[in-house]
Amino acid sequence: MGHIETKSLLTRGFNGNTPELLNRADEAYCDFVSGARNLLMYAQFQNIGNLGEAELDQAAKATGHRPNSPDAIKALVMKVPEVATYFRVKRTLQESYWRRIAESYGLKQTEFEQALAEADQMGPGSVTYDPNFVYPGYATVDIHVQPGGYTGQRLGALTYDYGTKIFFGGAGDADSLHHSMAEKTSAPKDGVVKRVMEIGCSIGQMACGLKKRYPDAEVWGTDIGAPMVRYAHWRTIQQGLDVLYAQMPAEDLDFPDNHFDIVTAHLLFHEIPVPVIKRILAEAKRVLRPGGVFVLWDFFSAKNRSGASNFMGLMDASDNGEPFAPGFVNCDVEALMEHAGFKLRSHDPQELGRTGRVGDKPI
Amino acid sequence: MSTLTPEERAKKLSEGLDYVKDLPGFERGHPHYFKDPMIDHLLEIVLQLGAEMWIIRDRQMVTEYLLTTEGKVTPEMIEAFKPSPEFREKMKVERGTYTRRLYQSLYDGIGPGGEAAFVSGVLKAR
Repeated sequence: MGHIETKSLLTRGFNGNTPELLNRADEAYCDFVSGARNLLMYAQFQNIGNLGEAELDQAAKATGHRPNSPDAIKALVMKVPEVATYFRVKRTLQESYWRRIAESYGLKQTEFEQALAEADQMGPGSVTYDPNFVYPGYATVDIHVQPGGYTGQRLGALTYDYGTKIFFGGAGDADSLHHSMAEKTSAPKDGVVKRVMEIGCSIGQMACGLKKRYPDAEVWGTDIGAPMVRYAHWRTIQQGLDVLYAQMPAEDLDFPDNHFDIVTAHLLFHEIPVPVIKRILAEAKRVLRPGGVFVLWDFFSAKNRSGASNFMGLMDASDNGEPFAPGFVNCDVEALMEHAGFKLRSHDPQELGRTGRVGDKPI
Repeated sequence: MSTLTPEERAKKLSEGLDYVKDLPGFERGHPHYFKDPMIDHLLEIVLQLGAEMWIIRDRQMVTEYLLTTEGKVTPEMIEAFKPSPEFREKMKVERGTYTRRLYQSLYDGIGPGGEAAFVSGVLKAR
């Protein structure tokens, strides 16, 4: 097979920076799913959260004991027909779009794989990964119910790209959310930014935003998943940006001490176990220079959320492949950051509900 | 670079994480939510039918648009069709009406809910 031109691979072009699905029917199917998620899930989020919470309150009053295990909670709240309907609809729509996206891109599986292999050797930017990498168990979960998760399918990152477009219901198209967060990512107090890294960068949306913000800086995107960094590199080439990608566990980075001015993580911590979070914080502090800054973008802690919201979060963990999220929202990550040696800034910038915790490495 | 073998590195990265194997509460496979799983199956079928019907409706709208603007239509023209922002918005509105009409009875008991968007539905409720 000869060289793969992007134009011949993606006959239907791009939607923002995301490759279009390979035929109109698949796109229409996913449009329906995206719209149905908005109408049948997001619009009902608060109602269902309140219903579930009320059911748990009632049980607590009647028995003096509030159920707190996922199984006990589900046994109770799924008796409410609307709650069971909501979670049935949610699970079906979630499974449906992963399946359809994978089937669509799968029509050109061989060509996509060749395009990624060619991009491995191309610039701007670069990618490094280890074909023999052995993943720790926590990194092989089917996060978000995506078959193969972030690490188990060669085209998993391509599927993830279109899947997150559906997840955000169109609100994140053209990487707008990620670029907005890159703009709001706090800088070191002395203003010096020569090296920036996003850990757990997945498909590189925020790393590209950081490169646009700091065009003269060396910008790295690292992720434990080889499929993620390889696709991130291919996607970044399409935008003509110079970002360096590497497969690296965030808790074991192959960088020297005091190397970066900014290290940031976006929606990484709620996908990993708390012991790994602690190791990552220590590693982030090691690779930051004195005066450098660590910016953590992730969900609000449980203590800052309503009971209904925490109920929905627990259900999301159970039914949407977020097994580590409850650990994260309950772990007091601000205290963990301080314990790792960061000095927290009093102001947390917020973007669409993901709170940015900002920690300076003391000079 | 790490001097460990891939297996040694994976073992090191997994230290102290035995508990994650259990993934408490995490639903693998194909869970059901109703006491009678047939209700789950029927809801799934109804959602898939809605999606498949929308595909036909989408194709019809694109076909009519192309016939009106180009005077002809081929399968290739449909596949290559890139809707304008106005046409995209028109389809979105049509899809919303269609979805509400089909599924509004699901939540009759609790009302229409809030704004149908990820941003206002999920994030502002936190």
